[in-house]
Amino acid sequence: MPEIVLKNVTKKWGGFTAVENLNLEIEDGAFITLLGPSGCGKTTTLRMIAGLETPTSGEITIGGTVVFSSQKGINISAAKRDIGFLFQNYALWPHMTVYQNIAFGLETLKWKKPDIEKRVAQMLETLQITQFAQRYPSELSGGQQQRVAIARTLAPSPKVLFMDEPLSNLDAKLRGEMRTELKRLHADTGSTFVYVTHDQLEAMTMATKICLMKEGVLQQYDPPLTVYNHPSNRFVADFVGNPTMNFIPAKAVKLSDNTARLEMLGEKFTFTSENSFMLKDGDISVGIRPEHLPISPKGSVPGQLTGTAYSTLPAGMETTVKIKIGGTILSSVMFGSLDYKVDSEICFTVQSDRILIFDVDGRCATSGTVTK
Amino acid sequence: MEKNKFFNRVLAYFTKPSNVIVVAFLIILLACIVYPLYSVLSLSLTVGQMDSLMYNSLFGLHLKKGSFSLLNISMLMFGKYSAEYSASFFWSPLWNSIRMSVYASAIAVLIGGVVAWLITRTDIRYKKFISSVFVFPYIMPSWTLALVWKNVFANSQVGTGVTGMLESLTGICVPSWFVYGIFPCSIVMGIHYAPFAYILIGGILRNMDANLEEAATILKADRWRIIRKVTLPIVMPALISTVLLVFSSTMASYAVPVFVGSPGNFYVMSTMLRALYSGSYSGQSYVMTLVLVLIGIGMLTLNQALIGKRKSFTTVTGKSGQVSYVKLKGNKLVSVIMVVVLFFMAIFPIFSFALESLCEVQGDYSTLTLKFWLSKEDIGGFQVAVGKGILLNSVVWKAMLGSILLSLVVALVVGTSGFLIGYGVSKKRGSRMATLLSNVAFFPYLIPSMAFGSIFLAVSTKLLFLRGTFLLLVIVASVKYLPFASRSGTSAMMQLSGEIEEAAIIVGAPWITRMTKILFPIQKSSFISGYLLPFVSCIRELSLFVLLASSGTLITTLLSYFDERNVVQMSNGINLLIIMVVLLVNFTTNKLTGASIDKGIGGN
Amino acid sequence: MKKLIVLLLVAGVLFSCFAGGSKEAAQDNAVKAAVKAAETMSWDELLQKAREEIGDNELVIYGTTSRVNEKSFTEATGIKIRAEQPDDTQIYEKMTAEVGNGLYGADVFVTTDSFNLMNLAFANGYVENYVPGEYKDLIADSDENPLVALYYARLFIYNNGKGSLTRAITNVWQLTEPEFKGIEMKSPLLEKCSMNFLITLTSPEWQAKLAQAYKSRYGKDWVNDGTYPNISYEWIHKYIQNCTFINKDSTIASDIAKGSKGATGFFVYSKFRSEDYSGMTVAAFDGVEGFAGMLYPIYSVVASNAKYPYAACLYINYLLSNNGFLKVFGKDMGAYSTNTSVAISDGAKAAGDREISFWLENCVIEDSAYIPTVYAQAFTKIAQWCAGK
Ligand SMILES: Nc1ncnc2c1ncn2[C@@H]1O[C@H](COP(=O)(O)OP(=O)(O)O)[C@@H](O)[C@H]1O
Ligand SMILES: [Mg+2]
Repeated sequence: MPEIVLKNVTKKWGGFTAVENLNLEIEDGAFITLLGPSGCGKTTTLRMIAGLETPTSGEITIGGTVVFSSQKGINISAAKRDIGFLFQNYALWPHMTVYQNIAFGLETLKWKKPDIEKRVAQMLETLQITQFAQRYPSELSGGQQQRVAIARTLAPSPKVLFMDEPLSNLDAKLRGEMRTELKRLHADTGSTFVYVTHDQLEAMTMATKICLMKEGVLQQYDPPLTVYNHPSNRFVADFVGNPTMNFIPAKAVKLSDNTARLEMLGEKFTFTSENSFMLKDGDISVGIRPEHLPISPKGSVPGQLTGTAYSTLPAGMETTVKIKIGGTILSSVMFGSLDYKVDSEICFTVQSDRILIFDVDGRCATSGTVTK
Repeated sequence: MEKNKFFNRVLAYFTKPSNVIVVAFLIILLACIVYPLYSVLSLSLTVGQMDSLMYNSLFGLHLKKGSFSLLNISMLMFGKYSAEYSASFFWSPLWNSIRMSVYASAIAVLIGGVVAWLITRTDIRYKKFISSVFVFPYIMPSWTLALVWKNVFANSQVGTGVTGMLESLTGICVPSWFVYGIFPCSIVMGIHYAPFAYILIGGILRNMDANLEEAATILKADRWRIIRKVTLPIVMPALISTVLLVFSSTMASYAVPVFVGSPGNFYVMSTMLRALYSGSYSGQSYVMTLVLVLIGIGMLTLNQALIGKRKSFTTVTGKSGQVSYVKLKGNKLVSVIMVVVLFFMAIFPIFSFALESLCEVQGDYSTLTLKFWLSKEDIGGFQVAVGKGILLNSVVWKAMLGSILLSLVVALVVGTSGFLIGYGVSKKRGSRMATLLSNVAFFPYLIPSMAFGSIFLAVSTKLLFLRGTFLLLVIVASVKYLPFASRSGTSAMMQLSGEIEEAAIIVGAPWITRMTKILFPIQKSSFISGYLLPFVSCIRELSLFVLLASSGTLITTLLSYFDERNVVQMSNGINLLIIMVVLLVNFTTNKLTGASIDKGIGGN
Repeated sequence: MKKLIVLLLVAGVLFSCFAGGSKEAAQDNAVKAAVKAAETMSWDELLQKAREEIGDNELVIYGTTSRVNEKSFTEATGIKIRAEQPDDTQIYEKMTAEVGNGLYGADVFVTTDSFNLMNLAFANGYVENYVPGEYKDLIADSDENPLVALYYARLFIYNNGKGSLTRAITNVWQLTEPEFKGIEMKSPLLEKCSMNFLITLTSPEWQAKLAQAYKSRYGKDWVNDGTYPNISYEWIHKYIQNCTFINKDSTIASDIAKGSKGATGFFVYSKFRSEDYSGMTVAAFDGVEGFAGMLYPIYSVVASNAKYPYAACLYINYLLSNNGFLKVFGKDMGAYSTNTSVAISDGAKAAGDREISFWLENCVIEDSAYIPTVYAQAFTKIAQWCAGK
């Protein structure tokens, strides 16, 4: 069973650490995304698992077989790790036609010719590129190349499939379609997918688990909703979600085990959590998702806050409203199309049991509700 | 109105720098090679003064000097005098030349390609050493390698029975075909041009997106299959360029076949060409030249047929820094073998030049002296005036400086032209003009140096302002060596995707800035080798200049002077000096720009 | 590609329109007159005239031989010289390009190959012959037109294993026998003197000598069975079959010196000196029936467009003088002045060399009168043999 386990994997280039002490367990059949800003070590991690890069130290196991161990001196080559890899720049062979590109892996496996033809035809069909079979890569558009690359990777039905930002070069529409296709492929093949992206939406929508990294260090490794709702720190909270979370500076005074008094936006609030939490009195920041700041007509609900409309960004299905209150600008997302005149008065409430409290170090202390 | 439109169109055409470059170079090159080609053609279809004497007497004719005749062709190729004559002077040398060139190209590509692969793709040890030393055989004049070959393998069973190094060390006597004939010719030429293959192929390998190979690894292709199916096809253009250059160079090479070929009764076209030329059948020698040119054209055409148009758009998007080295099995052994082979190919010849230049009595190593380097007095004991020791000899220095200056100027002209031609051709890739330009730029290579020099001697008697000038040497050498630079320039430019320049156009960078700040730096190493290779070739060239430069202006004329007069200590010393100068220039370039002849492949 | 070729051809034809038609050689009467005048002048007169003429400028010499020693002539006359050493083919090529186009290049040519000298240089009026008046009587008539400044000897020489072998080449036909397979020599294809030597052998005079040697070697008369036009061709063909062609005299000399006992070569006698010659024997001294080598002439002529004709004559005069010969050529064995009053140097004598009279008797001498009569046929046949080995 291709369960992938990384133990204390570190990669250094000279003095620079690209990946630091990474521990990760990827279950069989999972769809994992490696998420993080550019340069955080995602590609490096992926390449180390695939065997294209040699870790500086640590141990990697795939399906119970140790494929790399710095201690035991094991380093099994990429060819023997039984994986598929989809490169960021596709890496299609320029001297082979689409057909030849896809057939290559099968020929390597010494498939019979009719079988190869059948399989390639099937892949071409699935990815809707049948008409390009005899073209060379340079004669295809980015999206078409992309699909050829996917077809080439999937043709030998690898048990584990690594993908490095495969959709980053595509237009938004195509990207959306391909996401669906990939998720479908994942379901159909039952393979383990490890997917690198810097696009949180992609990660949220596709993954069974997100592995979020920053500067080579693992930040959080959880299912998407957990990451969304219970980010382990401010970085994660900020990275996930669109529009991004509102971070409001506040002063906190602990009242009891699970309550605190918060002073923010020029008003005083009481924060209540279901669990007891630890928090030092003083500066903190309060994280509120935009969808937790619903706008309401003045006086219609209790505990309203009042600000002014800074700008309104209607997207059709929902509208992001930027509200200025004091010196802070908050985002609020409302369902449907709204329009507010600039600088007109806006009333809103804080409505959620998932308000986050981050301590000075950015660690997420707890979540709960606030009341005015 | 119509006129205006046409004018505007022309104007628009020439606002694009690439168009200007292509058109300008086409004009310059056509001017520089049309006359030589025309001369070769017309001389092969007319009878010279000596030819007319010979033909009139042989065939009872009354031809006048300069009259049109097909006799040159029919006698040389079609048995007009005797079938035996045509066979001995033309067909068998042709066959020999082709065989030798095929073998030499194969050897060069094999050795150079394998080393390039080892350096760029594996974790072989001593990379820096191997990479920098491997280019030595190219720096040395090819005949010096032949000399080393003979000194090593001659034995008591061959020829006059001079005991070579191998026999005196091990008692092994290699057979005669090993010492003289096609075998040593091919090997020596192969070794001489292997660095060339290494430079061209290594350049592509290093710039090639490593993902392309990794993609195949992941699909479980074994190493051999990856090389065969992915790496080789992608380096194919460089490979074919190499074959083209090595093949043509070997076809035209004279010194090596005459040195280790003729004693084994192995004759090639260039030996016969020279024989006919100096032997009263100069018309036939031009037919021979023409055939060499035609073979070259055939090679060019083949080249184009092999690299199909569609596939040739092998734009490599960017560089992948993430090359993972192949772990060599028996790394230590392979590395040590490499170093040992290199020692014999590259270090040993240099060492032997140094040693020979230190012997008071030639070949007697018990009489070591520094006098050939340092003597303040004129060195006596020879049949000719030798002058002071090499380092204090004003004649040597004058010639050395002359050579260096010439080579520098030529390198600058050629390297820059190669870069520009590469740019023009790649911008207009696929267009007829571009194909024409890249082919025309290759033409001079197909004309043997000797014929080239002799044609330009004739040119200089028409264009008097050029006669005997430095400028003439610069022009001749520049045209002759352009193929190196235009090939490496074109292949380097072809690898850059158009977007790289377009990105700079968008931000409003003027053309010059784009060239100097963007395109050049990206493929710096390729382009710099476009400067260094002509430098090396030029500084050790002799036959191209022998008719055009007065003796003592260039170091090679001096080298051959001492060599012919058997002052081997001086000729070996000067040889060493030339190598040292090239290494110094290479080293300086490397320090200043980070690039070097071998491109420092894998060294860092 | 096809288009390219067509384009080149068209351009070539266009080019020919204005490139064609070279000027005929400029007949420089001043040079002719000066050479004529110089013939009757004594050394001192000529020297004075030459100095006046050339002043501080350089006299330019193209010479196939390396002995064009700068210092001794300049020391003797105060006239500066610049010497260039192209090979003989290159000399004639430069001569044609320069003198043929009325361009000054050199004043004096010191060169070999009577055939090109007569049929190219003299036939086109590129050069003038000058014979110093004071030596006219001392130089054989046959060496005066054109003037032969000196002869070089190329001889059969073998390795005697430090005296342990007397190979006893007593008859030139031995060299065509299997025992002598591998005689090293310069290819007649690439060197004119060697070719001219073989062509000279085909003359009736040498046919007779070869026939005599044949008889004494094989005890019977040579009969023409139709394989060869005459006996000389048989010798030449078999000899060529026995040869190994090496591109340089010095290489041959060193191959023989360092080779095994019995190794034989045909090379310029003067190279003997460069090697340890205690281990080598010159066959000629054993008395070879037929011939023991060849003498080839070094001609010295004035360019018909010389800038400094008097200085040029002075230089030639110098080469024929006792002092000039000894300083320039005579240090080693193997070079012989045509001035019969000039003897070989003491050094050469000590090393075993003999006077020119000995060599004239034992060697084939390039016959500039005979060669042109058979050149085309003989050259082509021999060349074909050499190439078809
Ligand atoms: N070959 C290399 N040598 C040195 N540093 C590298 C190399 N490859 C990547 N890095 C550095 O390692 C870090 C992680 O790179 P990478 O894994 O490619 O990032 P990403 O998360 O964008 O895929 C980056 O800061 C990058 O600069
Ligand atoms: Mg990446």
